[in-house]
Amino acid sequence: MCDKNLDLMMKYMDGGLDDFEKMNLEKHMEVCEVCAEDFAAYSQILQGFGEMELTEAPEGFAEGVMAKVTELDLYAPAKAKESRKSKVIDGLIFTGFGLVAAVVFGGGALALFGGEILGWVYGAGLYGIASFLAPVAEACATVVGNINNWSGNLFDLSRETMIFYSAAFLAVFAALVALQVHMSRRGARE
Amino acid sequence: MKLCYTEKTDYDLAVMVASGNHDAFNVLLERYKNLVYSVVLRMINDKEEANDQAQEVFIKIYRHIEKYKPDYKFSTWVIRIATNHVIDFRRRSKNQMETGNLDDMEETVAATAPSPEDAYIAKEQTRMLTDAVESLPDMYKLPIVLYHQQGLSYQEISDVVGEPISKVKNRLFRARKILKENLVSIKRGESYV
Repeated sequence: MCDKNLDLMMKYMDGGLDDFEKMNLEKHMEVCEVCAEDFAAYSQILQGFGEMELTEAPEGFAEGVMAKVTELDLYAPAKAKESRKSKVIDGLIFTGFGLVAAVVFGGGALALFGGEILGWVYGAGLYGIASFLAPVAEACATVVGNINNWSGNLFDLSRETMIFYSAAFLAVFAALVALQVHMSRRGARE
Repeated sequence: MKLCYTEKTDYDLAVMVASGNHDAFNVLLERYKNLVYSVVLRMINDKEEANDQAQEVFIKIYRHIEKYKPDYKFSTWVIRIATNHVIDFRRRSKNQMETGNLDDMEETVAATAPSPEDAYIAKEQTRMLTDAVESLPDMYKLPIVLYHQQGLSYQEISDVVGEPISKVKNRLFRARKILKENLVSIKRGESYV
């Protein structure tokens, strides 16, 4: 095989032979039997590959793969992780809500019902707790008094209104819990 | 729902698979099952084994779908996984590729020859070619099958085999020469008979 024509034949295999190159090659092959034989072989290779189509995957192939994929279900944890994340956020919100409630209503109760509470505690003989609660109740009473003074009694933090606020708070909290339960059930159905 | 998926790009579907959507994977599977099976069959040359290994290839694709980046065509990425898988499989099982059982390649050849004699000649020529292809080492067989049968470009083959284009071109050049030498010597041998 002549080197120059080998390049041309490779170009032919790539489908990039122009008319001029093709004509030169044909002329050469009229006088060179070896190149003509090689060209016939290259053409056979090209034609043979052209006739080879994609072999169809056997019947049941896709079903077999999907059965394994369903069994593996690798990316389901992503959903669970998302769900866990959302549960943690919900938990934090509720805990925060609960802490605020404990501080506000616990403090409010100590400020407004401190005398009664301390009486029950002393009565029960829990002197240690009582000695801790006494200054706390006093501080809470000061805070409530200050809030009433600063707000010009806007919030009216008296015993009656504190009971009203507590009831309202509990109603809102119950509504939030109901909403959360509803959303969780809907998420589980999806 | 699947009807909408068919309009989505391979990358969109891959993202959906990675978020736990099995229907999206089914669409990708339908798109590429014949390609993967063909590539695996060419390299293993055993229908039953090719079926098992091609399924394994898809499981690998599923496992690594998060790693797919649209920098490459999905088909290139898929063929790369398929070829690497078969090479690993053969290394593990230490089975060298068998030659001779080429029914599958022959079955795919269109039997459109005008006469029984021509059909016989065409079939014989295809058999000779497939024999010659099967006897090539992987380093030559892979580029020539990917280029001439699967229609991949030099760049795509380079991405699949992880070698520079210059090396791919060189291997393709040598593969063609080896095939040509084989065919010519077979023909010469036949003419002496």
